[in-house]
Amino acid sequence: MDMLTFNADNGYLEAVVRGLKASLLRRNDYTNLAQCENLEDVRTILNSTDYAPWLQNEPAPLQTQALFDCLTERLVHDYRSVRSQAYAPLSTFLDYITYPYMIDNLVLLLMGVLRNRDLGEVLDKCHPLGLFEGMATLAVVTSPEELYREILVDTPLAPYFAECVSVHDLTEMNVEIIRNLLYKAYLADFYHLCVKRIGGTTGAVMASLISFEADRRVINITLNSLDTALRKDERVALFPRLPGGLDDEVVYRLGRADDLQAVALAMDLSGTYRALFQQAAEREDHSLEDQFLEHEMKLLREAFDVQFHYGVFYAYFRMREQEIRNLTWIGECITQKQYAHASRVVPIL
Amino acid sequence: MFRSEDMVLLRIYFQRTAAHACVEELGRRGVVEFRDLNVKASALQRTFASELKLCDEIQRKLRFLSDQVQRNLTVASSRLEGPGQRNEIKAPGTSRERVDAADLGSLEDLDAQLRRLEVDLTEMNLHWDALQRELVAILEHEYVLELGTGIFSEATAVQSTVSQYGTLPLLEAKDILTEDITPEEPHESLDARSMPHNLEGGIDLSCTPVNALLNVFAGTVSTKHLSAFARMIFRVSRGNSFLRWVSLPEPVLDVDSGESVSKAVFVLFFPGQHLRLKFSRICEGFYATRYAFPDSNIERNRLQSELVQRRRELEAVMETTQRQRTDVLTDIAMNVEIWNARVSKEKAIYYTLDKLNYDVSERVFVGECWCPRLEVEEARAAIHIGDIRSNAQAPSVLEERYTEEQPPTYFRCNRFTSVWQDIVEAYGVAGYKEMNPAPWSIATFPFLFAIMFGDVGHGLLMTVAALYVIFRERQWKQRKLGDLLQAVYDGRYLILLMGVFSIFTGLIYNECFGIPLNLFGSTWKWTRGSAIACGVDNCRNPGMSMPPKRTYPFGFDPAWKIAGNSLTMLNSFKMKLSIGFAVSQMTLGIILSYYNAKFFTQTVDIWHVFVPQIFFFLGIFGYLLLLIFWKWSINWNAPGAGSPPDLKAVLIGMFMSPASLPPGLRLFQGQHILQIALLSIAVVTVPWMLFAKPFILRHRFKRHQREAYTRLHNGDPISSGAEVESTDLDQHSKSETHGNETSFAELFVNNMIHTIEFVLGAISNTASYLRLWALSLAHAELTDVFLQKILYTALKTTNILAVMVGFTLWLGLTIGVLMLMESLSAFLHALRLHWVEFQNKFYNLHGSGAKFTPLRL
Repeated sequence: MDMLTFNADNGYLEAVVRGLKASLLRRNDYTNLAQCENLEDVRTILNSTDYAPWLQNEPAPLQTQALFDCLTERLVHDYRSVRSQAYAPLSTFLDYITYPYMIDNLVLLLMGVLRNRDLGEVLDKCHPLGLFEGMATLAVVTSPEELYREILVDTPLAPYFAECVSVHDLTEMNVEIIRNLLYKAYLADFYHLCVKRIGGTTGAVMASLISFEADRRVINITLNSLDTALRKDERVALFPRLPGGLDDEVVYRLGRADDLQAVALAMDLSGTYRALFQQAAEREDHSLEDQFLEHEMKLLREAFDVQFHYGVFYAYFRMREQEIRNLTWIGECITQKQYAHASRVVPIL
Repeated sequence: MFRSEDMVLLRIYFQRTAAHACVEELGRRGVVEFRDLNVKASALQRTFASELKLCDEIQRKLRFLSDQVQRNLTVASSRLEGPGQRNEIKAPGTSRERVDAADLGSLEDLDAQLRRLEVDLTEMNLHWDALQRELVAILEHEYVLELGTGIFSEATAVQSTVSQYGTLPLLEAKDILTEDITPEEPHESLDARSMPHNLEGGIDLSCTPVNALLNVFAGTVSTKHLSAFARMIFRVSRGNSFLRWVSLPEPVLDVDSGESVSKAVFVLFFPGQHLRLKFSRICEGFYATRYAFPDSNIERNRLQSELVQRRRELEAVMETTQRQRTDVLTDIAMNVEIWNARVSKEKAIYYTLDKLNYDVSERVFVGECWCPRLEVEEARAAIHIGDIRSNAQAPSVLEERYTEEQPPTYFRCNRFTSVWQDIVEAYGVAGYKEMNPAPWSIATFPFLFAIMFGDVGHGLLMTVAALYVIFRERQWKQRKLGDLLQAVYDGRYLILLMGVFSIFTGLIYNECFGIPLNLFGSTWKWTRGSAIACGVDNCRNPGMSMPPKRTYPFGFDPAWKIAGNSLTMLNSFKMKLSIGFAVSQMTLGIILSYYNAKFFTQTVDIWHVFVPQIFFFLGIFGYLLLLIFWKWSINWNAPGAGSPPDLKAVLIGMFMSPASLPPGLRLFQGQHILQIALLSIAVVTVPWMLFAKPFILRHRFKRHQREAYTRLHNGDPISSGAEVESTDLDQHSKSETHGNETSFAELFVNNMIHTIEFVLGAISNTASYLRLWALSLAHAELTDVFLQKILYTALKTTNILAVMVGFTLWLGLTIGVLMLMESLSAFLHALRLHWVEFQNKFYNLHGSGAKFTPLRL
């Protein structure tokens, strides 16, 4: 069915996104970038890419922050131009892509409030795709219940907050919990949207991408909660579980794991992740996070091999996001004169 | 003109110090195209990366400055100085000459100068923004006081009502409130429903002013955020608050974004200190600005007059600031264009210099460039001047080099021929020394157009329009034209020729806005006695309807216009005419392919491509053309001439039943024999085209290979004979010599495609020329319809108003539909006939070339 009707509403945008994907930096670009000695050199190299118009009006000594802002501005521009031309259900799908940014912004703001930071400063750090109304008034809330009732109720995050209301007060630990609960609910909802409501090729492609995301969260939650005050049943409650994700057995073991050893043992049961774990252990300059990212990029690239589905939109924006992380990393390395580390990026294409 | 100019590859050695000046001089003359000798180097690794970066940086500053100029100066200067000065600022002047005249010092100086300006301007802007912000704040404050008082008094009015009724719940008070609301101003009260318990909370409304226990916030919030703001207030206070707002009569400037935003004044009443903190945060969150709002009227009036006072002072300050700023910006505006041209030029020079190779040991730059042979002396002179200008110790050296590579193609065009060259190159750039179709199309293009657009009146209009553009050429050249106008300007000479040719074909068709011109007196007349018209000088017996003895001297007789069989006649004529031009133009194309092959000494292509093609084509379609003229030259009215044969049937019969020729299809003696001969030629030529070329090339390749081996085995020095042999191999086979069997298959398939395309194309392309007839017909019919149905109908009413309306409508349709749309469609069809039917016979058959793009500063 997708083949027959997809292009009527989405053909143009799919073509646009595939074209945009072609402008992602390639390995040899990263090789060139890693040889730069200052950020002006980075600018010179980026000037020969699609980024030229975005960087051209930055004053001369380029700063990492300015670089990051320009790159993000481009991502946002891409997103907005695609979003403004999208028909339902693609528009809904695209909206869902911004929810993680909203969750991150929310958590960032809550942390800022808890640490008594200047709210304006924190707001500047928020991702522009995750802006929601009333963000700036977050300082008035004192409890999750108030947070929900006064601010989130108007945002798309409201339905995800249901579980969080039971959290009693706002501490840093609880904010982390809120983040994970929100993500859990979000992933389940997104999965439902893709697989049940949109279905078809989109469902098939997105199912694997979302369940990978869920699995990564499960593993990361486990790793991060080792040696913390988080109880094991609380930990399990945070795990996003989706069909097609990790085996029940693996999840059960992860839920009971006490140390890294136990996690690694649990991972042995799952083919994909065991390989990632082993590689992370073998390669010195690669953390597990890098391994996950590389694997994710591989999955995203594969999404482009299939046609007539929305996964390419998700994949493109994730790839662009990774590219921004890469470039920012390179920028940081260069400003801190750690030239050797500048080549340690996750290649996208 | 017919073939590319001779191009030579020059190698130039520059002194390091002289390189810049030399390249600049070369660029000024625009005679050479530099080749990139550092293809592999990334932008960073090139010699002049830092200079280019500096250029980029200067350009960024210039963009900032001209942006500032544009944003502020147009408004400011029209306000402060009046329009006279603005014209002076914008006075264009050719910037290139001014750049050359004014020596602006080094790029670094320019950069420093611009940096100073940028800093100054940024500071000024900050200052200006601060002033503006203050002004906006004062304005908003005034509004708050003014409009807030209204809200406030309303609230007090409610108060008094409430006090009259004692403990009237605000639920009803709300109704009273809503009653006073004027419909234009969207007042709203969200919270009345939940007010009662607030009242019961013990605010004694009857005797104290409304604000005795209530806190009051007054301020402005943008209408965009208003509803969310109100909702948030309601939610946070759980309804224990009272918010009213009035939108401002005019949008207010938002200094940060520079845009006007519509805002609303709000007044918020609420109890308690706890909410005070929360609300002030909410106000911050929604970018709502709070302003002082005293309770008593007297206080408010005092504050208001104070504000007015401050606003006056501020406005005075702003005026002086603005004047200063305008001075600075005017200064910049005068120079920005020169600077821009200067930097773009420097950037181009450095970009070119980056293409040079730097020889470290010799400390010289080595550049390679293509140059037309005729311009070599010019280039030498340029380098000489460059050397003198830069005081180089050793002169730069220029030498010609021999190369195997295909040079870029360069046709010298003037402003007349360049249109046709552009049209041809839109299809593909000619290979070096390949036959250029542009000169041919100078005549054929407007002519084919005119066949479709034949009308004296329309042709005249078009000629006049083109002449007007040509007349204003100089003025338009400097103006920035819109896309459409630019296209007209670029094609002005083409349009002129199209117009002139249309007048000619219009005279042939004898149509002027659809009306036939009786220039020489019609030779037909219609009498009551004749069933059909008869010739003026041959009408002794009207019943006989004899044709005139003296024919109309030029074009169609005007009588055809009113003849009943005019369409039949015109169709037959135009159809055969189309075939005629089809055969002639395509034959020209095939002949040009011969000249191409001859020029490149591709003997295979002459004997096994051109010869069978021309035989095949002329054998079938040339014969058809012959038949057409033969048939035209026979007087079928003469006694005993019989009935004219159907030419279509003749041609089809020639293929379908070659054995017999029915007498009804017979035109001349020996027609049958000729037809059989032609048919057998056609049958022979197809396999000839198909097989000969690839097999001959393969044979040559094998022989070549064998010789190469034997030579190697013998170890002999290369015999001169073998050398001659290998040069004998034509260029085409040379490109194939490195191949093997697979490339033979490729060659064969290619040749097969070409053959099939030619054979099938011969038929379909000829048919394609029938569009000449179809479009010509459509044009004539449309003209006729507009004339008959609109203009004549209107004239018949003899009502002045109707005539005026009818004429206007007819004129509009003539210009809009016929002159613009029809001409465009005829243009496109002419374009297609040239690109596809004509050029595919000879042009770009072996891939296209590269256009010579000289460095031009």
